[in-house]
Amino acid sequence: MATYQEFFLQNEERDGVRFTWNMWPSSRLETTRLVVPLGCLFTPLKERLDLPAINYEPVLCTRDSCRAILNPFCSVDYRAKIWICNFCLQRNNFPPQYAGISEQLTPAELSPQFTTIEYTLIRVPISPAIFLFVVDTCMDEDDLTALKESLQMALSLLPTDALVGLITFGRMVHVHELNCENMARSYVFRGTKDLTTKQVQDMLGLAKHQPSARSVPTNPNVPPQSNAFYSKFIQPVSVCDMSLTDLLGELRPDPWPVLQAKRSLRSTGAALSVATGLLEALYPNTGARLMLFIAGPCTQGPGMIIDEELKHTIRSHHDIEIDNAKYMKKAIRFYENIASRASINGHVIDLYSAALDQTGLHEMKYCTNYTGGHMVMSDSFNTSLFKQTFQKVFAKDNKNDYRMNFGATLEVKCSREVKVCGAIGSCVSLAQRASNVSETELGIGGTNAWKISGIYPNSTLSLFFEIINQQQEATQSVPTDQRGYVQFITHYQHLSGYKKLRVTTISRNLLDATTHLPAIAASFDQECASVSMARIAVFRADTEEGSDVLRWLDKMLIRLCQKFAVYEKDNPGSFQLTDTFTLYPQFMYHLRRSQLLQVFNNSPDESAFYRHYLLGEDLTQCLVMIQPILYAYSFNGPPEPVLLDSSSILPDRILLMDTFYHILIYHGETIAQWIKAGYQDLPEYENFKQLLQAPVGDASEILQNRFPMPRYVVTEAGGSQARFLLYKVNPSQTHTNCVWGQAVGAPILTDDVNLQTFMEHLKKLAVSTST
Amino acid sequence: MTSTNKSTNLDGWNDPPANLTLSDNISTKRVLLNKRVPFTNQDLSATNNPANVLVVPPPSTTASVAAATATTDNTTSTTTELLTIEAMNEIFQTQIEKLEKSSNIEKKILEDISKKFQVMQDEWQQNKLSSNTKQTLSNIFQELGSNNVQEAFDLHVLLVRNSSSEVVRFIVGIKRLIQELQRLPK
Repeated sequence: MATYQEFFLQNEERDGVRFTWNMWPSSRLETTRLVVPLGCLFTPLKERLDLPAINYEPVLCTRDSCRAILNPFCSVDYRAKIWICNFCLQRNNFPPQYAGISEQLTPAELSPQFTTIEYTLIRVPISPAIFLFVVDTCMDEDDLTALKESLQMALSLLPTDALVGLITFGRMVHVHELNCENMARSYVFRGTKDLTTKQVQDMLGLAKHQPSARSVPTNPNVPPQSNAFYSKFIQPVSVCDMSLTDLLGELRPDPWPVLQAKRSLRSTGAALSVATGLLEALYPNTGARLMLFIAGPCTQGPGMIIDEELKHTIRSHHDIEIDNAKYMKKAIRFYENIASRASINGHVIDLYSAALDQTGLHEMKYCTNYTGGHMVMSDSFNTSLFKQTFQKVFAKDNKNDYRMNFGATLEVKCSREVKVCGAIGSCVSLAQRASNVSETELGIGGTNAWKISGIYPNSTLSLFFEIINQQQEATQSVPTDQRGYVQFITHYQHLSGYKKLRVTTISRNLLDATTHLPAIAASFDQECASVSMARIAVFRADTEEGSDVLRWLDKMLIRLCQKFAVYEKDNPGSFQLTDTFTLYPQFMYHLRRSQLLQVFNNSPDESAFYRHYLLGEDLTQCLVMIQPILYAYSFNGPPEPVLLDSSSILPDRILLMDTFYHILIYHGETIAQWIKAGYQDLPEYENFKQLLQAPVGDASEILQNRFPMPRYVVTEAGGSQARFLLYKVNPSQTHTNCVWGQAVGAPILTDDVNLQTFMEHLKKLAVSTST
Repeated sequence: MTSTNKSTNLDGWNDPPANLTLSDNISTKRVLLNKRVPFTNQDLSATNNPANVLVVPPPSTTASVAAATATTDNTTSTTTELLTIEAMNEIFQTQIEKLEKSSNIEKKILEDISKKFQVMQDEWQQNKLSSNTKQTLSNIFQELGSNNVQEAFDLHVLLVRNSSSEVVRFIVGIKRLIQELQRLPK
């Protein structure tokens, strides 16, 4: 390949991996001196349409402490039928079924194009997935009707062999019996009590369910006939869909009266407790999805976010800073506990929040972040944003398989030069200590295996590594052909009825950093580094002060520039960055100002929502969150990307901005005047109509494929919604530095530092001998 | 301010357009707009000469604009003719009889399915369904009449995704009918 950029993209296409550094230093000290940690963004279930169907078990290394899987980097002796593990150098015999292999007839797992390969484990039986709807009823009639319709629609979109259950809550928690004759029955729990799994099991009369091995359905739409015992609370959707549809149709808003100047009494915590206990008792270690729909904050019982008095407002960032959030710590402890219980069992918790005020996502985020669930924040259930997002939960991919998968475990194997420091993403630690676990922790560390209960084709984890010193390092130079290997092994439950195993093996060269620094510098992937640093910053922001995180980020940027830029000491004018580093300060600048780290003008719930997606999306989407994309449409030429700068806002242009959370179409002043004059309706100005339609078409493409549905804003020069655009662009023209009358673009009324000033400061600090 | 793609009454603040047809499949492969312009230190003020600002848009013959990627069309309407409600009723009765003859299914389920079909009939006759919905329902029953049960199922999923609020009161009955027919031994 000609350039590193092509190398990055090819690797991402093939293996779903991007590394911050693609040539690795051979010593620990040199790795830390690189400033940006050695890490990767890994998409375990990267969409690959060309993988061969492998229906046999993988071949493992026979050394007990290794157990790596046969991969294309292993040396193979075809005559003696022996392979040498590239991780531990153990010689292994091939199993008897490999007797026929030769140089001409290699199995797929040894072929160099299949460094990523997927095994389907057909001998492992798995039970169907369970979908438990936990529905808040404290909302007005219209909202509840819309939500009921969405749930009834979901029943048609579920996998045909799925199991379903329904719990509703308001002041009390109701666990509904399904498919009962003559009358609807439910078990009622007080909303003020927290319950253990054992208590739930006893009160509901649940017997421990043995998941039975089911036969593989030949027709994916026909549910299998089965005589297995199902509890009265969780039943196959094929059996109870009609009665459940009727039951949902009859739901009414919570009957308990809401007093003047008070909130509804909502027992979200108790409902979650009962639901988690129900799933734990009946279906431990099976893929299950607990979908929680809330229309307001929890106001009583465990996990209380705020009390019922409206005059007490829900905590803001300022309240959290000055320690004025009365219920927060206790609520966080409660929801973290629920999240841990669910993730250990491979149960996913989704949060669908629809309210104009905060609902407590800041405390409840552990439920989605630990289990890989969705977090959807909308204004009401009666909006297309919620309805379309909810439909997409059940979307399928190009092979007509559901995009959601359950119960994934990711294990990392490394060659002896490499150790694992930790992971950042929607996962929990499996606390698996092994020889390749480093003492230094970065992210969720102390383990080489993590559990991701809810995993999708675009789920991406950040994994961080450390190089350890090899014995000969002090006296001899490291041989230039030394390579480090990392293998990612992902087990997961596929909704087709099988357990699958994805194996990705990668290798990179190890170089002596003291003599080969330019080669290592040239292998820097600035996009991956930006996203990795963003994730570390967001991870730290959970436990540290916001200003400390920003200070750390700035310090890292200055140190990176000091190490890799070309300059003369104390001469800022001489500062130059090579091509591999030029975009990085720009990304850092936008990251500092983004809603991920700037909490001003955002509620804690909004910050939790934005950060949740940074921790789960793949590289391209994360970059969009850090630095939004801006495209311009005009009569002067085809649509083109433009600088995210105030100078790009011109009167005769339409701008399309994608921040991941928002899609914004901005009509320049002249365009807006033409619209008002109605030129688009005149037949001789057909091209103007097409120009107006162009960004809408592109926006629709984005809307089709994005989860969750972003907010869609159409605005114009001087419009109030234009603030979304003005807030994001680099304010090179402000009210202080523009000369009125000669302004190009729209001056932004802000005191924020712009990118030019930021770069000046950066150069000054980088070249200074005293920093 | 007129906006070209704002939808109707149900939208909340800054909602995506409600008339967006969501396909069953999401692909993360193609990312259309993902280019960025690197920041250079040059002076940005000379990019556009204000004296060149147009007073009216250039008329169609002179200017050419890059064609937009079209919005996805609603593909549920096919060119097959629309069945009358009586014809659909006949097909439905045939299918129910088929299910009654096989002894596997409970009477109660068949009654429920019939009740839901009745709801659909009433809504059809009271003109509560849009033409697209009617066309798709007609296609579903045509497929059932010709014993193409799988196609009927796929069509029903499309209907659920695109017109859920219209069909929610009876679609579960039709779904159950199709699934029971699929379960019948050939």
